[in-house]
Amino acid sequence: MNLSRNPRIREFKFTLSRIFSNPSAIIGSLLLLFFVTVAVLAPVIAPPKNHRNPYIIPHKGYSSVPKPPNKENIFGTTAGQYDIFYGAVWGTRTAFRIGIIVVAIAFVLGAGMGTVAGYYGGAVDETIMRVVDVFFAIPFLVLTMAIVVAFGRGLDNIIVALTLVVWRRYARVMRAGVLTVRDQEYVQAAKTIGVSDTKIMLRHILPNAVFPVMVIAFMDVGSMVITAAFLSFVGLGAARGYADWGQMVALARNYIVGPADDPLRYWYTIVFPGGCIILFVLAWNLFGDALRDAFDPKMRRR
Amino acid sequence: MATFIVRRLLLMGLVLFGVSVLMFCILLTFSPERRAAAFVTSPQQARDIPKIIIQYGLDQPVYIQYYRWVKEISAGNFGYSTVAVSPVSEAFMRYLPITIEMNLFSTPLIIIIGIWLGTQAGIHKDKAIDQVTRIFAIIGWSLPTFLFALLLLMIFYGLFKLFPPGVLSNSVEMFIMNNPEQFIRYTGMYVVDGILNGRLDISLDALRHLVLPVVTQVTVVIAILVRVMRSSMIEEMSKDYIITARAKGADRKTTCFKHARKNALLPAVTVAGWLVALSIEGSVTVEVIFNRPGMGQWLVQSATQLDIPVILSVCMFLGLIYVTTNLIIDVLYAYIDPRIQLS
Amino acid sequence: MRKLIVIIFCLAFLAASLNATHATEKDIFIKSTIATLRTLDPARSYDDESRMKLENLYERLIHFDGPYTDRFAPVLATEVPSIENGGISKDGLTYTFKIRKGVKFHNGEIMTAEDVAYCLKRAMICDPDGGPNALLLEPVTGRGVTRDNDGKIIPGVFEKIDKAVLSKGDTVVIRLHKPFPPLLGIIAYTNCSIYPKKWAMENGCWDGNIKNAAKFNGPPNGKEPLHHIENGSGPYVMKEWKPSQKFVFERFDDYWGGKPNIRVGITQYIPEWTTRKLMFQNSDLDMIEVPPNYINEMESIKGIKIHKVPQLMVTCAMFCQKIDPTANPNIGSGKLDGDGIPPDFFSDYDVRAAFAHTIDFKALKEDACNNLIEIPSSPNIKGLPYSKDVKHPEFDLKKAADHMKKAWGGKAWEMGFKMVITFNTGRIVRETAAHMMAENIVSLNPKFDIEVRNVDWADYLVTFQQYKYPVFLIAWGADYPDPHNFLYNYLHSDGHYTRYSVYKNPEADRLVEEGIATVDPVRREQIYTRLQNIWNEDIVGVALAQRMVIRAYQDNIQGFIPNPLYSGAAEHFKTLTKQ
Repeated sequence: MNLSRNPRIREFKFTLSRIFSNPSAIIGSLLLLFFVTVAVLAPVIAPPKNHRNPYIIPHKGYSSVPKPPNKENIFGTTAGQYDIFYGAVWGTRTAFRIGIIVVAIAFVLGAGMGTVAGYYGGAVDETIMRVVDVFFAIPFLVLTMAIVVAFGRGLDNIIVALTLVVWRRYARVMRAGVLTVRDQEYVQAAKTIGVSDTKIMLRHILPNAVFPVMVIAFMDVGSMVITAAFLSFVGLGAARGYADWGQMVALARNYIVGPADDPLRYWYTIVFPGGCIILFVLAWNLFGDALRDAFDPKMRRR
Repeated sequence: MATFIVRRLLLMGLVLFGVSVLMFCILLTFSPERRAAAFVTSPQQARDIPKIIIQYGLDQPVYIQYYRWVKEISAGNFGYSTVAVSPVSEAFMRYLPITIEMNLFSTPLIIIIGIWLGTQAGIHKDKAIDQVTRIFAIIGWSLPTFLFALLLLMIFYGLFKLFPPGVLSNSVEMFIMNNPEQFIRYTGMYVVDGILNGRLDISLDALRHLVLPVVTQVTVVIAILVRVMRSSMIEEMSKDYIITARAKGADRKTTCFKHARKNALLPAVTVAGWLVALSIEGSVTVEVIFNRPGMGQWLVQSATQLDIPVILSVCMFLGLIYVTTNLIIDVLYAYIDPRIQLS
Repeated sequence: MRKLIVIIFCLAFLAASLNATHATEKDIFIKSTIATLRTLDPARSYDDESRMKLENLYERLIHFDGPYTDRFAPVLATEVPSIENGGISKDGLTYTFKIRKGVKFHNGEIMTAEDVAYCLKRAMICDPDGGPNALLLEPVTGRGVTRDNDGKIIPGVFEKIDKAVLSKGDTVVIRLHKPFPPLLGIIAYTNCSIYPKKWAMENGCWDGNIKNAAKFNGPPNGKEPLHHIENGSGPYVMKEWKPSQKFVFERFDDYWGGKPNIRVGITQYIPEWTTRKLMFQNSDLDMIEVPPNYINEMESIKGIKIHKVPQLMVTCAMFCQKIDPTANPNIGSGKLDGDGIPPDFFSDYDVRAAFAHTIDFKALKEDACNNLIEIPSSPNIKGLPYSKDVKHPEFDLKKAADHMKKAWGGKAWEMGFKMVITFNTGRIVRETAAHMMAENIVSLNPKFDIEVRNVDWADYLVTFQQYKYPVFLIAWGADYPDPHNFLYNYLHSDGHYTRYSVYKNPEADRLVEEGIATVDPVRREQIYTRLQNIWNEDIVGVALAQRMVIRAYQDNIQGFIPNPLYSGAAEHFKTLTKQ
């Protein structure tokens, strides 16, 4: 058997070629590759001093005045003398942790609910979708903020809160996708020959309706980091000295505008962590955009 | 049509009830002590916490507290806001106009610029303008709002001393305070009130304070509209009727703007609800940085200071706005697009 | 059409930007605040922000004289009572105030002794939750409350209040339960502000009949009768109050004490530091309070004046000697097995001593706080009477290690331990001290493990009162400038903080009680010196810092008088001038 003859593999190859014919996708995936490398190699790039918890940024001294880049701290130090380079490197792991955990759990939850609602319809659909409506009725940030306040500040609770809020969108998009697939002939055929509901949902419906949700999920991985930064900004995020870009940016906000005679004196406190956030979000967005163009059946073969 | 609207109205009630239950569940994860602690500010006052719990019934069972709350709400009493130092309903009237005023300026700009940019990007897919627009939109999307706002403040107020934070200049505010009969607050929105009172200078002053908040709001919110408009434009442009029209020799401008954009606008309408939600969220940051005492600043303060009546009422209010917007959109949609049947 | 819109927009933009003017007139003073005002009722106001407002709107019988915390000047009384002038009886139980004549309230009424007596009584009867009424209740009735913890009124308390305050002709007499040397400091507190009786009764305050007092006791938050109105005799009247926006004062033309220079005083609520700073740089604000972190960039600005005012406030680290072990994540396993600490871990003197020796005071003061704190030797800080520099634990990791080796008979060193230190967010001294303790203790022995966490203030307040924190870092600010106000809370077993650190020393209890009931200054000095030494001998806690407030003024503002009793929120517009 020639492997390349297999239609799935051929299709996959075509998809890949579609994705990588798009320059923004190449930039996106290169950026992603870079961040993954940094995250994986973090202990090598920036060896931790605190072995119990490597996410604690090392600091020498307690001075509240940031210090510009020098030999010892190549990105400089921020208030409290926390090393910006270390924070940026280990913050990559934090960013992946926030993004991936939230989106993965919310994806499973939301896509599952959406599939069940769309497939069974009727009362099941009605109940699930009304719950989704309730979650949808409160703006994203407001609801997240309320949950974080209730559970207490900190990154772990931010992850929980985001997960509890993000799934609603996946459920809705998934259901819409399932509805279009549900009545196709091949599903009906599977039903008549007595394939179990679970199997139909997993084998036939999910693979054909999941792409739009996946595209959204991809893009959301990046925006989760932004939301976490916002929560740090209103004072609900990680503690000072924790390797988290959002925390570092929120801490540096009082240094954006330096002294009157030298307003850009503390540029490094904001540029490095802020740049990390922007590039990280950019990477996921570019990649997600390309994915959508590649998977969109209407545009696929043009 | 009528049955559709009635059904939706009933559902609206159901959803709002759900919102209230959800918010109550979230807020009741606080211990009574912690909720009581919201009433005190110094350790000196902390000895009164047990008394505060008793006075406000914070240790009563959940369903009793919920019942009490619903009873109060139905009597039109939304509780007392410790942050706003007044009843919630009164504070609403004070904060809402400030937020509405800003969005009154930002929303049309978002719609006009968003649709224009999205259309251009869609028509010239993968060309320079498309790539630039996409990068611009993605950066607007990926830059934390507060960073952008602080940068604007630094440049235009710190460096050029042009657009100050706040709502009005102090001299103007003193004038209004000293001459309440010469300046009547019809709406609470100073630009509008200035025109109504024939005081264009006051309108201009208010406008000057609005520039930076509006620019921030537009930059942040516009990304989503550009994105939707672009992809829906691309889709329309690839449809057979456009290709036919082009093949028949209709000129580019007509096909793009007369036919394609008209139809492409349809999906863009559906993100209107989203725009509302994003505008509310944008207001939060913008109001904190530019020191505008509106709903957003109020909400952040209430959330961090555990002002529970405010969190509950604001969420109910936002829920109401959201479901109403969606209802209007659905009805509009049905009118615009006859293919959609209301069931 | 589209072009037209664009042009109109550009024009509007241009016009709007050209309109820029700076509204800093000579007789208007604008300062920023970072907290919101919650009430204007003197019987409820117990925070810096509202007290600042009341200081300008109302007056008391006496006030603190200029920069001093131990000298008073008469205001609505004609002289400050003392034993020499007969205003205070020899036994220290009776205080007599002669009332000033011809003082006008903002509504035009003339003040009488009757008004004064009424206000002092209401300052005890009202007693809302979280209010300051305990201050006067304690010396007058012997107990700082009118209700017990179940909300029931203590029998006979109102009758006691009624009998203790009397007005006779032009004088008002206060009789105390037992001698209370710092009473004058309490009379100078905004709780004892004076307003007309008739006006107060018309607006729903206590009706003057002691039998009805219970009805007016403990009003709920926001429902206190004088919540958003005022009618004092102060130099300024309330012109407008926009909650969480701004508060506008205007000069009171009939003020008895002369015409102040500043006509309009404005406090503007601006929560974001950068916004505040830029407005100050652009001269849109006349005064801001500067957080210590940013002192350097502030000092580089030209045309401003910076005042550094030490505060009567002390931050201490307290050790809880009997931690509540139920579901407590802060003490690990709850046993001395290398995986936690026992609930009574800190009852061992050597453990406390070891922790005390890990605080690097020099780094705390110079690096973390830019030299903007004083290191106190005990909670009886500089600026309080009888404050002495005593020997206190210094930074010495070797000593810390020695103590740790001795602790728990050597078991702590051998087994190691694991615990959590928590601080409340946003306080630089507490954060730095928590990190110092954790990092330095951990460096002594690889078996030691301390994690540092942070929570919000409300959580912190609740949790330390549940005995859940092994170490809590907390500050006390003066209600009145007397050692009793501090040492009672940091050393007496019933004190506000000692109670939650479960420290009990009969000698300290006895001395604290004796100190407040003693009139003789020589004996008091002996008592408070001894108490300061007990604090350091027993290592009840570690006194970390006495903070300073940094106030930046525009150069053209004169007349600010620094006083350690007033925080950054305070501003006495009366004394200011603007050129």
